Amino acid sequence: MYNSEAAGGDQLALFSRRRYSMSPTGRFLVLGSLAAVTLGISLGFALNGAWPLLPFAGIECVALYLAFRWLQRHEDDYEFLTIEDQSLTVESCVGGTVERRSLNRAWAQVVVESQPQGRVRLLLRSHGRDTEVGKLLSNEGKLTAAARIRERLSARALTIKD
Amino acid sequence: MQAVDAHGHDHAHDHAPSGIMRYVTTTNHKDIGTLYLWFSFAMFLVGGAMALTIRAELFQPGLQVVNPDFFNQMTTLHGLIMVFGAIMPAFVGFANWQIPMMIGAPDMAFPRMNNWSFWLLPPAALLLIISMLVPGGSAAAGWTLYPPLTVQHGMGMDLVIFAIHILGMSSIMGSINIITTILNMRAPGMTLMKMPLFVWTWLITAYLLIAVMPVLAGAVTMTLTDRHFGTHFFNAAGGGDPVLFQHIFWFFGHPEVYVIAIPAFGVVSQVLPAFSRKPLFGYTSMVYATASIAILSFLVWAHHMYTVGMPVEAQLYYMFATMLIAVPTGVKVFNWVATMWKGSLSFETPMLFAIGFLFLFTLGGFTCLVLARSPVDAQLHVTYYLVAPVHYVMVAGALFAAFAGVYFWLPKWIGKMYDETLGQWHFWLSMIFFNVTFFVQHFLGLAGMPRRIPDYALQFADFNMISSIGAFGFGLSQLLFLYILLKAIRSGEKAPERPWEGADTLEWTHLPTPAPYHSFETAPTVK
Repeated sequence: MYNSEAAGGDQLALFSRRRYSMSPTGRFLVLGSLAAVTLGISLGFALNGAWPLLPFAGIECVALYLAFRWLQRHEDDYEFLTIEDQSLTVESCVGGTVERRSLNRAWAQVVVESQPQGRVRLLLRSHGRDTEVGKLLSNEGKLTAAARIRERLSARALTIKD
Repeated sequence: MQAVDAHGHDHAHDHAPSGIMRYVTTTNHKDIGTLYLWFSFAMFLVGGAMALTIRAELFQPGLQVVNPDFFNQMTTLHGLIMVFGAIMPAFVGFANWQIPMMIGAPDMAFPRMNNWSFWLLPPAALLLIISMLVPGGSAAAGWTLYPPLTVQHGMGMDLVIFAIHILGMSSIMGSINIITTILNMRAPGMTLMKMPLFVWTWLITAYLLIAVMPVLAGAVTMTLTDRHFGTHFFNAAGGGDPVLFQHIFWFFGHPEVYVIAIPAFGVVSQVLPAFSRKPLFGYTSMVYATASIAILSFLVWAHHMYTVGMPVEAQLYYMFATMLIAVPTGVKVFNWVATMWKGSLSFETPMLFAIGFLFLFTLGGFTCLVLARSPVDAQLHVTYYLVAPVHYVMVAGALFAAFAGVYFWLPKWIGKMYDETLGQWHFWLSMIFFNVTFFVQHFLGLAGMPRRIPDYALQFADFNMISSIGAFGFGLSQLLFLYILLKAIRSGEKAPERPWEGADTLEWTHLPTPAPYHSFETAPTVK
């Protein structure tokens, strides 16, 4: 996963997305070759009377397809967090579905929670509602992002106070 | 405006959670790798106890310890448990621990499925074990489960079939995970031809498993329907064909041998260069040789069936195709030897086990090759001459490689060193007792002693006694291994960051020792 950050004054833009090492063509070739071999073997035995191999080969191919389909659906996942003027906006794309939530910058809180398995969860809280951010980031990345967001929010608060 | 810091998060990511639920619910590849390894060791002890029951009965002629039917159950379950419960899970454990760290990935591609893959194993193992307790006992047809015996057995056979289905599901899920992890989650710069050979061997193994698991599932399902639903796939009395089962089984069974052997090749290909302080000789040819072995393994299955009757042309084909496998295998053996050639060798325990593997696996390969010739096989089939090479490949091959891997990576896993002196004792005891057990079985086979019999003629008594003494010695040597592991975990000396100066894969060069609970959350760049 890689991330980019742009900041200026009291503004901030954080972008994160996963990084995959297999191309769509590669994915197609791998899935196709596995399915062809599995179904080919089963078909050969089915033609010799052992047809019960076919359903198992079919189930396995479906499982393979679902796994590769999941990878494909999530290859374009991203998260884009911006802080500008009065608003903090989080735009996320998960499995092709884009969601956007804007918070009032003045009311936004950064919450970092410890999770089981040593994980860290980064939340933006406003008006009693939590929005999880940084799902594509590592623990370190979440902590760094939390610090950056806090920094920007605090900078704005100081400006308002002054 | 306020920044809230809940639950003191500062070091949360440095600590692994604790308690039993950590292991039940874990999705962490290291936890799951540990589970696989301990499970496989437990099953190794169970399967080993069955082997010792067999050898106790064979210590002298006559029936002393168990009745013949229970003896047959022991030979069957010993094979099934060792193959599916001990050796395969051991290498899946290595895959879980090592693959993400070796390719610079944070975890496996499907962590929850990874958890499921493991937790399917204990119920399957339980089914295999409790199949002995049901009326009629467990399956007693040998691990190959040939009909008509399997069609006639009691309900223990049904439990075994169910267990095999569950084990197959686990293998398929594990294979999907491994393939997607290796192909999709490599760090920038980690091209396929830069991957450590262990990763390559697992990629090829996972392909093999995906290809053959439906074949096994279909075979045992047809056995089940023959038993309970009135079909006659394999029942000759109803017009079925028992030989069809053999074709199906060995189409799965021969690649299965390589499912076990190829990851072992991978482990040895990491260990030998590290202790030779040289890069692996002929990396590219090793990759192609491994792939060639895997492809050829699909084309030779009927060499297990020479004696069922087949045309001479078919026998010739299977004979030559089988001998062809010796070519890529020879390439690998040559490359391993060439890796050590003029290297700055040192002989710590992992290296000893790797050299032991190289010596004994090659010996087993050669003696197996003798059986590739159909006229010889006709004489030696179903004798102890078959038992010996199989164990040279499975035990001295796969198991010794697994021991080499455990000693090699243990410091990285737990951050502590094992006792080197005891490790060397473990190697030499295993090496000596292994050969005492199995080398003499070549002579028993050549003299005509059939396998899978609880009693035998008097002329086989001496070699059987020697073999049984060796087996008990080998079994006890493995308790020393358990002691070494526990001692290392409880009170081992702190491991240095890089205990093996020749080890140069990512887990050694980019991660601290012990490896943190979460590693490579930010991918390294490989040059």
